[in-house]
Amino acid sequence: MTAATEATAVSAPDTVVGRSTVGALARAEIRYTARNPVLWLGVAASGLVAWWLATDGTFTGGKPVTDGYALWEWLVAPLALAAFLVGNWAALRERPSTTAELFTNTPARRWDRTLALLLAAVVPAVLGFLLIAGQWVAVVARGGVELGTGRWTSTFTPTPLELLGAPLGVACAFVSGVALARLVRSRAVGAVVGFVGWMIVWVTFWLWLTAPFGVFAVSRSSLVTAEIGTDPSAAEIARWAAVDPADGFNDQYVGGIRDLGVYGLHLVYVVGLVLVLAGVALARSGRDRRTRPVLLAGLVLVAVAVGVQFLVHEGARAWLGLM
Amino acid sequence: MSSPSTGWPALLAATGPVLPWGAVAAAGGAALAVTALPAVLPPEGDGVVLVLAVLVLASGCAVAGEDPAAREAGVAPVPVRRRLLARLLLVLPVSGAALAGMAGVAALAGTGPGSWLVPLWAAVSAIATAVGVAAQRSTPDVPGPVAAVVVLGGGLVLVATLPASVVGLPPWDSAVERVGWALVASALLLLAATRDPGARR
Amino acid sequence: MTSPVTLAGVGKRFRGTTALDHVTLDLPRGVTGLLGPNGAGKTTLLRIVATALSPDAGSVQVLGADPADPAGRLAIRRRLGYLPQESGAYAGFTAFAFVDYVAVLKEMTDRAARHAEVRRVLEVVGLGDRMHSRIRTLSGGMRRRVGLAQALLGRPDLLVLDEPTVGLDPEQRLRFREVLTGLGTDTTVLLSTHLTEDVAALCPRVVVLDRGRVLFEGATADLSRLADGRVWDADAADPLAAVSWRTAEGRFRNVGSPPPGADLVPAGPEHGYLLLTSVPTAEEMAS
Repeated sequence: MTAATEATAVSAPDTVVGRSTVGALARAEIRYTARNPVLWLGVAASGLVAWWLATDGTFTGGKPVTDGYALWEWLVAPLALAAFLVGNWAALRERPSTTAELFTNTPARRWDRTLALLLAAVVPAVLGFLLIAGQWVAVVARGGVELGTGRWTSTFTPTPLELLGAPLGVACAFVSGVALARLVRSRAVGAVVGFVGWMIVWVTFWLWLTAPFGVFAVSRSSLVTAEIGTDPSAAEIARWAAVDPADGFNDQYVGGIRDLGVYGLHLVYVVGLVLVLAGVALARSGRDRRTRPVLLAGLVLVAVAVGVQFLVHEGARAWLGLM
Repeated sequence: MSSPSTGWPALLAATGPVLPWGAVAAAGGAALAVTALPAVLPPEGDGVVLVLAVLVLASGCAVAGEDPAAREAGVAPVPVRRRLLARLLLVLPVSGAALAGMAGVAALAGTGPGSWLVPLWAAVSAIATAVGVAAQRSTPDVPGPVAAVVVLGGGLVLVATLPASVVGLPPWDSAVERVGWALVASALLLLAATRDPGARR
Repeated sequence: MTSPVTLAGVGKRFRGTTALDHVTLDLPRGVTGLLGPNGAGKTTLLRIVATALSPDAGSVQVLGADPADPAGRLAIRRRLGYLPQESGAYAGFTAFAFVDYVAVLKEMTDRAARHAEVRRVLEVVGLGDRMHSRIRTLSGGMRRRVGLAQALLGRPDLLVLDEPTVGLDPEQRLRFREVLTGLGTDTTVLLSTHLTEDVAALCPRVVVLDRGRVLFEGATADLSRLADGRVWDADAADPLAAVSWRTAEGRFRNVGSPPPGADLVPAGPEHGYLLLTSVPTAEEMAS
């Protein structure tokens, strides 16, 4: 009838459950995650932000380079908080010792349950993708992004690559919720720590426009900015897609341009971060030889992405300078 | 044994050990850490960082809404509101001390806390506590800080999202009015959420 | 033929307290009851058999496998149903969703077959009409039955049940007895209980545990026989009795060494059990 009833060979050489069990567990976790009302509250709040960004001309109304397109992924900030909480809660469902004991006696181990839950990150990621895809459609319908104000402006269409950052950032939030749950077995403490992390990563978005923090951003746009002096030459200005003249906030001209290479490295960094966090969650869920490759792959990706960004992007090396 | 025989010292002594102090400590520590961030961050967000720190600190106050022994103590002679007050009397001084620490750290970091710090803390803590109590009453398995984080995070996004034409409407276009509205809404929520479950509706 | 569960010299200590003291047991197929006062070591013994705990000393064989070995542990868990003392089901899940989740953990990956099995076990425990209710809305007895349902998933070869009848109403207790007696002779069931009537009704064999040691192991009828001719009623608590208590009729029932001409009454397993274990005072028993 089932694998459980068919399995009668007590001398079975295997020590872990098969992929089909982990797959079934992942499908169950995906179902539970997709039904979580907190996640949908996050979607609704993100929808509200998307509506605001689409209607107040953030991307299409011509804003200073550090104010408009820099907010490209900000619409998924509420979804990221919801994803963190949902991941943290789901990982702590088995917090009561009685529940943990009940599950201890099943063939699937805590490691398998954690892996299945991590795979459920696909749910908030897909929702994040749909939200940013909606924003992309709205922006393209209005003629594309208008970057900069005044004399030196440009208009362009966001690339499909720029649809990946938001879902990756949301998935990272979900996975970090699971990882934190495996480190701190308290939903209350998890919520407080997650709140702080969310505010630093998502709410204080200006932080991630400066070096060296921008290299470590979980969410950012493909926009690269730099202060180009108080009286930049025409050749210098021509290097940038848009330039803001000096004003009361900044005594230097600020240039901005889309750099998909740096953005691609940023995406690699976030993938690496997701893998590192997943590796931490798995390592804290019991021994399994598959944990190490996940952790190593994540660390390598993070190191490569961070290192290459510092190498290729001059602005990344200027302490507290725009990047 | 009637409630008058359970004096405040005994009630506070009994309440202290059951409170989830870990969350209060985490909130206080995190708020202090956030307050210190401007020392290493670009100066653009100095003012906002302190607001965020107050929000974090307030989320810790929501543990006062949790009543781990609600099922058993719900029919005890000491009423719900008296028990809540006991928890608040224990949590708020700790949170207040953390707020004083934040003010000191902010001064050291050169970001100088404004006079709005205490009213903001009072208003946001009131909201967090009321949300924590309401969550405990409606869904006992949801910790207070979790509910508070959802509401405060949502509020933060809302405040940042609402057009100036809405935020600037006369009933709430000053700090005093906003604090007042927050306290009134919290009080109403607290009154509703701390009704005696045995009382006739 | 070897026993499905064998313990040899098993010991377990928790911070200086001896929970099990060189326990040696052979549990045959069928239902075995585990009796003992609070703190006797029943739950520790059940957890060791259920692979939830490893012993400090001695060896354990369950269904022919060694739980100390990872592969053996997995092999045992594939054929095990376990009901802990407190089930700890997810309160926010429906009964169906929770049992379905445990079914996935038990490697039931075929969705249709799994759902059919989940429905079957929920019907067996009498929750067919409440399977889509959230667990937090169920009564204590119903939650216990959800725990029992997950233990029955996949018709396990070994069922380890820690006080399964706690919280069940009399009708449900009867139904539970039917479920266990309907499992067939190939299933091994080890259940702990404080209720000697459950043991009398369900368990052909019984183990009496006290302070971590096995005081009795054998047929339930033999446990009753220990007290044959040693139970009598009198108008007062007899000083010769090991234990006495006031009955509903107002007389005193005594268990111990009866005086000549005593008004003897038939012995049951509870009398044998009381003779074996250290027992509370008559006043405590009466209260």
